[in-house]
Amino acid sequence: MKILVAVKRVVDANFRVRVKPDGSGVDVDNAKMAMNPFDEIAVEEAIRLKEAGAATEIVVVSIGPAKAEDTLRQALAMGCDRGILVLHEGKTEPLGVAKILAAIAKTEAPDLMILGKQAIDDDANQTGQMLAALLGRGQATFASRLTLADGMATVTREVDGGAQTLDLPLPAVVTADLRLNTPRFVSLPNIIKARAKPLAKTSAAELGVDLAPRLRTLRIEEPPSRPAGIIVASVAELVARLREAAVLP
Amino acid sequence: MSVPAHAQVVVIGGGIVGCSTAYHLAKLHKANVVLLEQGKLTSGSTWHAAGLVGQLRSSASITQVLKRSVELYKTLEAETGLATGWKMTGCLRLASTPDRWTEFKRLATTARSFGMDMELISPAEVKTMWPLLATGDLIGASWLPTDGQASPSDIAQSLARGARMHGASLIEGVRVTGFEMEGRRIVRVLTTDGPIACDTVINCGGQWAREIGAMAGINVPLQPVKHQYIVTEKVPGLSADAPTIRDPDRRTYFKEEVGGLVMGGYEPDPIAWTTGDIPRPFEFQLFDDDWEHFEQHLTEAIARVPALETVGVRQMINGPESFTPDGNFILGAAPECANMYVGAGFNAFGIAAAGGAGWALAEWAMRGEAPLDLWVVDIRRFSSLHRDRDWVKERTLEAYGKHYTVAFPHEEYESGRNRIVSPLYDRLKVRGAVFGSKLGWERPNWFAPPGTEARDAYTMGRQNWFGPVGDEHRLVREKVGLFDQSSFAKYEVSGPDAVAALSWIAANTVDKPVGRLTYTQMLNSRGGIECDLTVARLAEDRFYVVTGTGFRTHDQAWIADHIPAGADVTLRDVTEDFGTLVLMGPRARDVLAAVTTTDVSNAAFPFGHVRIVSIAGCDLRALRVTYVGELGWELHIPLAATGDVFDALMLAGEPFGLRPVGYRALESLRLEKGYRAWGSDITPNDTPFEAGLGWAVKLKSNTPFVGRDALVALQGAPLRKRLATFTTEREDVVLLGRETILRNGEAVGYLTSGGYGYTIGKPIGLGYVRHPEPETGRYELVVASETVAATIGFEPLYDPHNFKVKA
Amino acid sequence: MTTLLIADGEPAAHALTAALQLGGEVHVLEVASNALAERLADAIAKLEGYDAIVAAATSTGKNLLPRVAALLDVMQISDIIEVVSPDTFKRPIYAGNAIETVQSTDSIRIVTVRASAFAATPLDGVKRIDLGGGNSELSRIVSDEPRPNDRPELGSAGIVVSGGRAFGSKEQFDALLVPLAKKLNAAIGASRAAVDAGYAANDLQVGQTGKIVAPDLYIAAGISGAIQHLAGMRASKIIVAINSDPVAPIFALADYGLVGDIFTLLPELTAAL
Repeated sequence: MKILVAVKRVVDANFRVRVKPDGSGVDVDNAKMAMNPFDEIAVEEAIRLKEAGAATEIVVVSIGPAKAEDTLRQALAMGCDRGILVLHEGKTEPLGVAKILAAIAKTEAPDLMILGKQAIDDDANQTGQMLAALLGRGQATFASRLTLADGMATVTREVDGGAQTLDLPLPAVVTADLRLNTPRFVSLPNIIKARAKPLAKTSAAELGVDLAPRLRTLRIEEPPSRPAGIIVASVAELVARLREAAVLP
Repeated sequence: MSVPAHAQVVVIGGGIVGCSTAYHLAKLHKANVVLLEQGKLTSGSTWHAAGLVGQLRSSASITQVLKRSVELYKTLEAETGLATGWKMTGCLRLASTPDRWTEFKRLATTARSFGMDMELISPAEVKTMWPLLATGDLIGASWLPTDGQASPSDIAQSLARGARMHGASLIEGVRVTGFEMEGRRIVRVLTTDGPIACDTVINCGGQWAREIGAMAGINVPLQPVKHQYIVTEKVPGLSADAPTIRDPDRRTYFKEEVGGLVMGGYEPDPIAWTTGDIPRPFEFQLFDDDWEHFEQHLTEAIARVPALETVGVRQMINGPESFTPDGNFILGAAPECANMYVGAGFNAFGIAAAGGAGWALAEWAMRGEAPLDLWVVDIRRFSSLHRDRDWVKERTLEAYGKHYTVAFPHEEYESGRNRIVSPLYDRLKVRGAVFGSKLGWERPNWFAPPGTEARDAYTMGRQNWFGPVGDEHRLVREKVGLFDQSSFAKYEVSGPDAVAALSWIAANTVDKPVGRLTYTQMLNSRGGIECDLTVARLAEDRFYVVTGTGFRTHDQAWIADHIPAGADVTLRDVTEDFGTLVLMGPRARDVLAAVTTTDVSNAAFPFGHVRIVSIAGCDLRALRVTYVGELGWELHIPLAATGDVFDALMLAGEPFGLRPVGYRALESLRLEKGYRAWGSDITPNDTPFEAGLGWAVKLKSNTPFVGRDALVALQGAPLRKRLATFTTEREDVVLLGRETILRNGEAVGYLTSGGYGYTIGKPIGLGYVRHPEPETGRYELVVASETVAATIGFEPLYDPHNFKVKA
Repeated sequence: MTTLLIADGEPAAHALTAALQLGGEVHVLEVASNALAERLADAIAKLEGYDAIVAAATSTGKNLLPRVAALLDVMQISDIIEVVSPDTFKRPIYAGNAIETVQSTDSIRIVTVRASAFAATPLDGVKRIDLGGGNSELSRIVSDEPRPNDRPELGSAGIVVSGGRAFGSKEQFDALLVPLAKKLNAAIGASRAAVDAGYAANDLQVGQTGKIVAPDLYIAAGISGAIQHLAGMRASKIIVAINSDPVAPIFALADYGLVGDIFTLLPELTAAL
């Protein structure tokens, strides 16, 4: 039973990105980078399955610049067994990433693929669904619970209005939502051990995938600014304002 | 909130140091203060500081400053209503090597000297206090119960509120873009929100202080370095009041936080951030986690706290901290500008320092004078060398790497060496010179005899140079030696008002006939000693001033700042114009007479005079003065001729046994003679009376001078303290300074200098005794936590009547 | 130019507005809310004659459309907030901290629409088509469950009420915050200082080293607003600060500030709701 997880190196969730004045992009030159939080949940889920005896090997993949190795090492420190870094400078789009992952899945033949539901940089929320389509396999997005039994994944999904539980024959693709688990903090010895775990490097060309973007970014601009706050005089005024803003239940 | 058009003081930077400075300015000086912060309060480094608060430093004054921080953090909440998170957890420093243990014994003695109770405890006691520590490899630990930890952002916010309560206005989101200058004076601070006219600017810009200073032409030699620490999950069994841990042999530190541990370290291979301007914006930013670099600390931390095997890392903080080339912070009046003060470069002890540093900076800026001896942090300790950012980076990284290494006595830095060499460098090198560095200058510390390795071998006890330095010492006492002191700082003071100006600044009489020398101090308004130098009158309107290498910027700034307004005086630094050879010893006259036709007899060229002497075809300035207590001359030689003069002297000196000698022998020689060293034995905290230098003060004349009023007020009153010389009966004791002086078993002071006198064959220390009857009583010194019998004296141990000097 | 709109309930009316802005005719394919994607996607991908496929960015649309896009070898454009032209759209990135204008180079545009960014247009009179759907050999619905009604989890709660060190004790923390949280069906959070002081459990810490939350309403009571705390909640839609210190940094971020004593104001607020 092999699990494939994918992780993306993104701007740290705490980093306040700023739009470049010329509208050409966001200034992330000095940004702290980190593993996409939903991917961390995906990694955690895979590790829990392995720890529960439901899986035997976890392969973690990242597509990005050489520094993405740090992100893979973090996944290895959490408990993945082996890493694959697909070196690529510049923008990636979900479709291209899904093609890369599909190519890797064809040789690795995983029984289960777990991805984060979306990356917090492009907020696309597409890669898992696309990967399932390309492989012709079932998909369970926005997972909040995952169990494996008898070649079947049972997944509870966080959907509008409630929850939905699916059965999917393996192999299948699952995308992780926030409540699936709380990723562990990596222990110190595991950080050290992760440095020695195997990590293979390849490229889109070697995998036969064209990563040329399909979308053209014309401009990136600031969102409308947050209106200045006001000091209210009383609890009554506060409640009235909140009712006006329709945020009270 | 837009900026006001005027303010008395503009503080730049809303980190903990800026907030503390604004607080003290507003509270104690009722100053009209505007603080400008480009981001938000605490942005920069304060917000990601770990929050350990230690107090003990190797300088008594800086220890005072840090103690003041703790007092403030304890009481601030009562005043402002905002807590500081101060917890007096105490601090354990762990020793696992014999050298470290010796260092701690000395540290405990220093603590005692500075009035702090540091205990040395056993590994078993460590285990009781901190059960999660692995103590198997420990020799022991030092325990300072009054140290602790605090919450950096909370302190800064509390100080900010206090500043506002006292009327300061703190404005966020405003960046300083430049300064409008009139000559050396800032008249307006230019900001993104408009200009502010002001009297005084205080640059507390943290890592931005460098570029803020540059906009006013001042140099703030700090270097941002990437400092990493981690915060772990809850560690089972860790007490909320667990002491902070410093484990220098494993280069790591620990602090309890929310049930988990903060762990960081000082690696030998730190990573510098930019030497250029800080990218903008960078107020609340961190760097990527660098586990590869941090792994060295992980291994050590697990070995020390095995519970870390199983807990997870909640977070890594990799943030820029400002470090400096000597590990001390940067405070005070920038020499290049008339009204900019700096408080920056806090070397990751900004939280510990800010409370006191803000107080000191406010006093300094409002009174124009440091409130106590702050020499080790004084921005005037730097020179133009420190404008070289690459040099600053290299030296700073070395200093960072040594943060937790055993500090061996007399240790020299290895980076950025051979920066400035005297013309004699190669000549000295072939004679076995082992060099040290001072303000960028390579200076011979000692000469390795043929067949021995020309290299310092540092140890805690007597080092490999002990013997050779003794030989050099005896050469000067018995025959004659030659010091290359070309690095001496030298100035010329000239102009119609030169004599009047120097008479106002100097405590001793400099208005002497042409050709005479004056040894003088320069005093602050409290009567404390700010400079200690030699003034030679070259002409009616021209003086030549010589002072120590390290004091070059400081003394020049002190003189410049105190030249009366409107006086027609030119002050010029001529350091690099002259090489300086110092010929000392009973045969000095024989050597000198052999190379010059000038009459150098005692009658023709008595002590305390300056004459032009011709050697090797070069006219040079000879000053008959000494810092070793022998007959001799300082020869100030036009730089290009220094080599020729050296060669001539060495040739002529051969029959008399002349050899070059180094600075370590100089130290031993001056200690025997009881000559004071500025910065340690005499400082801005000490008056000439206390230092036994009352004879060098012109109180009897009616000439006014800086500090006179304070001395008049002190005159006749009992001395608060008095400088004395100590020797120990035991000859194997190693004195380094800061040893505690016991009188009848009670601590009455500490040594300001320590060393060994080869002629008297005993360890020697100088130090102030705080007792009304210092002459009486039984004296002991505490040396590395061991008490040894000592003898006090108030006369030089060698040639007390100056027969040698005036021979 | 013909656009296929996937409609899975009320948000489809908003998506229709966007679809109409593409120009040309719109056909509607109604699907059940949270219909499975596998069979549907195959069927949609086989349809001919559509230049654009649009759905609201609901859990149904977000699940289905990328699958369709991949089958058609098209790069989807997610969560648009504006139609600039038939092939160019604006969409938020970096959690809304930037707005990107993107142009598709694919022959078919596949777009999900942020419903709140577009007005609703009634679907009456729009041509409807029908396709099979439901379970397949790839996936099967076991159950559809209504949202469980237990206490909201901090990380995903719609409303969070947080307390700081000003509460003075765990007892007061609970006594003041729990009733308010119950009234609002809110999760409880805490500042680092409050967690440090033992008023709240570690996993309730909101901030840089704790949970990052972005609820619709965040009420910070007795929290001064250390930057670490702000980092954990600054993306909240509406922020209310209640603090006795009028210059507390939290007020700079708050939409509504109330200056005063939490010990009187919080019970008053709880009673007023």
